[in-house]
Amino acid sequence: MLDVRTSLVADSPPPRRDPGPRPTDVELAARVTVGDRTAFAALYDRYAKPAYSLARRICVDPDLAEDVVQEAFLALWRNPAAYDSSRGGFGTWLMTVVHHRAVDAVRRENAKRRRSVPLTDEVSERNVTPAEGADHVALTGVVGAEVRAALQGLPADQRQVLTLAYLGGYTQVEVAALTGLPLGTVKSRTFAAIRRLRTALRSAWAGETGGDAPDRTTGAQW
Amino acid sequence: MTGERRDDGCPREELAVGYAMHVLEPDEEALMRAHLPRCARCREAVDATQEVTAALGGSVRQYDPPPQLRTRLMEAIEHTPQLREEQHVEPVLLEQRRKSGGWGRKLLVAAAVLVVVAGVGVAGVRLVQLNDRVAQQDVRAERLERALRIATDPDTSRAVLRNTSGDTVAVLLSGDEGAAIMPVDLPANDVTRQTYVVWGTGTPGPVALATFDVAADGSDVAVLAWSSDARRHDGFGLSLEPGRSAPARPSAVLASGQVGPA
Repeated sequence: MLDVRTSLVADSPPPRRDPGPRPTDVELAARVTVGDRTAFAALYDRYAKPAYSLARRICVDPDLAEDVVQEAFLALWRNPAAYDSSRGGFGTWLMTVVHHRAVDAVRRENAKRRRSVPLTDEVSERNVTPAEGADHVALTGVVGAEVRAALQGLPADQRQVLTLAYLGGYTQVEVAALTGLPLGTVKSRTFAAIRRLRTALRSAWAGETGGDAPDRTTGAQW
Repeated sequence: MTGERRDDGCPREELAVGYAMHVLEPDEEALMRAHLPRCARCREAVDATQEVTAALGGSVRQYDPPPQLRTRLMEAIEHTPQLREEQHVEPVLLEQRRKSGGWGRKLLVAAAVLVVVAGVGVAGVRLVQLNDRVAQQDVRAERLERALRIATDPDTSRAVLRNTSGDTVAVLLSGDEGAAIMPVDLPANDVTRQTYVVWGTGTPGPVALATFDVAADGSDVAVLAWSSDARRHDGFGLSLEPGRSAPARPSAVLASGQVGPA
């Protein structure tokens, strides 16, 4: 969904001096497959900030986060066909790649890392600072607000396992050990949390667009 | 439990969500990777989960990336070759073959027609080869499903087997429904002259519990013949032995591990 939300920022009507519509993510990604450096740079400019922010949130160490983002974008350059537009938006794919790489990096550097994810709703406690720029306000103000609201709407026990797993980078076995919950409970709470979040976000997005929630995945059942 | 209503989807959807979030253990992740090409419902769950988690990831506090990152990246791509489209062809075809017996069976029908039309031995040989391949795929799929059932059973114990350097070489799942071993970094054995042996170390002396082989790609899960006595062990060792049966004592233990917290 991020790609849709982000595209509200990235693909919003450009300033009047802009002569034409901006290429979509899919168009840019297709151009990267034939070695188009400008298209690659454009995708970087669209997604570097959320990608770096996520990597930094998970890695904590800014240098490690930088390496993660560089490797994620280099992976895109090496093999642009890894992104399959029939399975979802580019932003979703890229953020997934960044997340997985960030988690792998912190697992490797486990000993060096502060894995101190608060058990409260870490994401909802984040505040936008005025110095972070208009695009940031657009992204976290519009996108973040509805995500944070959806997250806040989860039962605390579901929010806890989801936050530890996704943002803490812990495996479900580790989450079970940390919380003292049976592994099966961790799995079922995570499953339930994702379903509830999806339902809440689809409803929010549908409300915004006045119609069906955008869904570029197969999404009929999910 | 959450009381969340579950419809009649695939029983692996919970695992699919974990897979999408990258929060599974290596054995579960490998099993799901093998399961996904054959399950549209779980692929759907993965895509839907990633959509949600990407939104979650985009809602964290935002930081501007350092300007030098862009410069370094644009320099790096000048020295980074791109994979060409044709380099992807073979893996895609292989993946399609793995998806189900359906593709293979259609090919079998086509091959059978060919046999009737041509009526020659060559086509007959090809049919036998295709039949073997489909049969192997079915056996592999069945094995994976059994391993998935063991992996997702909440009563299953999991032991990570590590070598003396501390590197993980395999993960052993020991459950009431049986056991499975997922090679992580085990070389293929010569199936005519060698066998891997799982040892139970929960007794004063090691006890041979099961044997298995590792194929050339080293990635396939092995489902083990497992007794109730074997189930009682909470420590395991692994050895590679000459011959096709387990000796009385291990010649050299390659890796060992205890049942973990899961």
